[in-house]
Amino acid sequence: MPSALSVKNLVKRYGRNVLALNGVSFEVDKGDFFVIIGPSGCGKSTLLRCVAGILDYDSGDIYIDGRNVKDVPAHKRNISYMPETYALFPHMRVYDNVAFRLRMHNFDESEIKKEVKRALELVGLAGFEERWPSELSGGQRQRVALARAVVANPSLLLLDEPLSHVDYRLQRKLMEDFKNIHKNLGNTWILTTHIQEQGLSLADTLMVMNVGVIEQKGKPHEIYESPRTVFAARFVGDINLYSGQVVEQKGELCVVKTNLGEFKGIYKGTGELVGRTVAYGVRPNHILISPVGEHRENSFKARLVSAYYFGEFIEYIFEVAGGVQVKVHADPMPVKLGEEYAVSWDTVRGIILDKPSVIEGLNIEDVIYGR
Amino acid sequence: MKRDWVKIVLGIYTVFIIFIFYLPLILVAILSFKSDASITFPILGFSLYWYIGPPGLVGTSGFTSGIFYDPQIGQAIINSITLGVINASIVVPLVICAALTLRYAFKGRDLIFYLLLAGFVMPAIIIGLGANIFYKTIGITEYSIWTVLPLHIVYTMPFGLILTMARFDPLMVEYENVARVLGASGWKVFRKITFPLIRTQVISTFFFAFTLSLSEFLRSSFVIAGVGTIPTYVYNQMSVTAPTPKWFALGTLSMAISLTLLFVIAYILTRGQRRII
Amino acid sequence: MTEERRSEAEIRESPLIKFVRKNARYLLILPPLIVVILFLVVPSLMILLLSFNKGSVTRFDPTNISLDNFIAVFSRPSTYIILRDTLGMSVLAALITLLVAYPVAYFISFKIQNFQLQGIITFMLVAPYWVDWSIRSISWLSILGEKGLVNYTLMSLGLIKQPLSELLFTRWTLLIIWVQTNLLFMIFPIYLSLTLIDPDLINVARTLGASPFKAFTKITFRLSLPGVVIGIIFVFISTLGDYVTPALWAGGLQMLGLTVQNYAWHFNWPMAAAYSVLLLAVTLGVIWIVLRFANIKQVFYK
Repeated sequence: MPSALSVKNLVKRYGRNVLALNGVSFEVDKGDFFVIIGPSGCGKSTLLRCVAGILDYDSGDIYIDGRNVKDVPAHKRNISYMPETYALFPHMRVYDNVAFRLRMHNFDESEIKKEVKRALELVGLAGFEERWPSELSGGQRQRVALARAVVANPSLLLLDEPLSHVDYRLQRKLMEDFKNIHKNLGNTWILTTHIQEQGLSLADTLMVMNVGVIEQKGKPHEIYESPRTVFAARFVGDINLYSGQVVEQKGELCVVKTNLGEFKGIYKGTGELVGRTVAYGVRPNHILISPVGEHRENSFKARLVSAYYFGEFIEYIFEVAGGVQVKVHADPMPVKLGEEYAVSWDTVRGIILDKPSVIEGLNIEDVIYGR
Repeated sequence: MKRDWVKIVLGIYTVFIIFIFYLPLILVAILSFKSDASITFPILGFSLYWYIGPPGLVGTSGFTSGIFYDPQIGQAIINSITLGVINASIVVPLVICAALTLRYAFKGRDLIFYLLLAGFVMPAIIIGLGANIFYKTIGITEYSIWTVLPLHIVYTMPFGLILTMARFDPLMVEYENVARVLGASGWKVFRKITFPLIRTQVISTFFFAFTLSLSEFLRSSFVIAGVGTIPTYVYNQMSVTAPTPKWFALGTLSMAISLTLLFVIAYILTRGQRRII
Repeated sequence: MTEERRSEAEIRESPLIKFVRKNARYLLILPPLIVVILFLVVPSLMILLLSFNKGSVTRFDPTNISLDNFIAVFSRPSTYIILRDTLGMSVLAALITLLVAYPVAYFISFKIQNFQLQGIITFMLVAPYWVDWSIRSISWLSILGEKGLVNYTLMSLGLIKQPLSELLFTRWTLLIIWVQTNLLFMIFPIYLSLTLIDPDLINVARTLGASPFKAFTKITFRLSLPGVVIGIIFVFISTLGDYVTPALWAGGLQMLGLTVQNYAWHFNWPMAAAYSVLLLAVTLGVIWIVLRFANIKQVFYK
């Protein structure tokens, strides 16, 4: 069974200097909810537009449902595309917007009326047929754009940053709706976002992009627990990162010497690390706070400098002499600002990464400290 | 409620300006009904002579008549209107082509943009004289409205281009992209998406092109012969004979028709639209 | 099913058709471009070429090249007087037109909220232009002449004893006519520019402490500069090259209108061409200078 989408070595240049896509290759399984995340400018919008057929690319191949669409113009590809701006036709009512694809494929009016009604009900906007786009709120416009995209059940749905301009509560609701509709329709969805929480919670398969290349692709929890590069580790979920030198390596277990002390962690890669500079990371929610003196594996002393209320957890920020910080996410604790505490974590939570990024030639310390 | 003094002052000022604008026209209308042949004050009597008077009755410089009996004026009117309509009909598709293409960035876009606007910029004599030489060089010696037409097109197109481009919906290309993915092929995209979005601009372009063509004189005079268009005809007559209210009658007539047309169009265009031009 | 077969057929389409299809959106520029090249660029080139001929030729003669015409043009002191006069009058006309037009444009775009009313007023301003130019011009005789409306009213009211003769056939006549002729083409671009201004910009300026006047000068006016520039350019173009209005209404004796000379040299077209080149150079120069003040492209595209 061919994959829903197969991209091979896609290269796209803007002008002479900007390489938006640098030989990108990946596959999307049929029926998957595929999320592409990456920072702004990493090429995810470009990628989507190339797949949609509205942007020309320099080299590479795109296969949709097994056939090469190189010479197939956009209107013959039988897919749907929803841009970041929704682009609802302002001169048409909701009904005509949603009916557009059906009209282009010459369905007859009675059929169209049924399908439009069905699509609008699916997105929760039953009865909105006669409205004008200018009369709708942002969230409603989004749903109309979605209805327009899903009508006539295309095999592939491309959504470019659909949730980036929506307020937080609406985001959660929409995310639920997306998943439900996806399950209902059973087709393949590809969605892009730069907000990592969306990526983690929505995706069946997650792909992290970075300036024209793919950093990692896999199930969300795989990337979260076993990131392969520093970039992926930072982009998916929050993480504290420090640079250090490997002093011992025994199978998966390594000992890393950092400015804060020697720590043990897990390395899932295949390199010989002894003597090399690597990144040592631990996620904020895996760190325990305890009074100084209680000794545990992988710990150091630090002073609590601030605490931020995030509702579901508190973000505590600890600082060591020299300005190095550690972020900890925990339930509210009886701690006092300015006091010293011990932060510690289990060895199995220590992530060791030797590759800064898929992009060659980057200095690992630069990537760690975000230079 | 605070009074918006700025609005009141500016409003009075605008009305004053409009009055100044229309003063010559009102005068033209009034004077067209003069019973004698001079165009100065005072007005001694009123008559419809200059409209429908048969040849020969009143006249200080010999043979004269009301416009109704003047076949040459009739011809000039027909020429002008024909030229105006044909000009506008050709300019509109050309402007659409240019405006839609100029949305995309490509090498030389700026140069082409300025080149298209240059038709407005070029002094009339240069265009007129140059066209004259050009026609001579390629062997065209007979002048008619067809020799004038290209000059009008080049002259009125920039105006339409500016009008159209200034009012583009910035998301227009995105709508087109989405429409294409939804199954619309090139021509369908234009018909269903692009054109409805620029329809008001297209209509405005048509009428501005017509307007500009009607009163275009400098360029036309270099490549015209015979009766010509209204402006060239009137100008030629002026150089030969003393002005009489006959010309005012012509002006009043065309004004009446134009204003009626304009108000009808204005009404159609502004009905339900959020913007006019 | 049929989709697959169709896509295979498409792969076999001829390279020419493929080229056209992929680039159709850019090829559309050709029709207007060709028209402009044929009837704008070519005639201009012909004038340029002709200016290098000497004598009474009306077609370019490649065997007769000389710079005599240009030497004549630039060595005559009258050239410079004409240039000075013409430029002076044009600048004056542009400024006056700007001053008269701006308040009207501002009024229509900012003070009239009802779009229908905006449209009506705009069309009322456009309507006079549908009465052709020459007839509008003659009417000036009736207004400004010794027996015209102004003098007649003033004399009847007893305000003056003698009719004012300076109203017609003087520089002032020229200015009045020029302003009236070009007013709409100054109002319109300014109006366009003003309507494109995001009202929030002005609101924010006010909250930051700007008085209405300051908000106008520092925000509104600055943002309307593209329209102002377009309007000024238009006035310059139409006045620098205008030979009819000075001839008819300013007595022609005034050496205004560089192009009056052109016309006078009607039988010495190469000289006329040489002067035309000068006129074009001056026009382009003025436009180039004025364009420094605003980026008009941003009104139309990014």
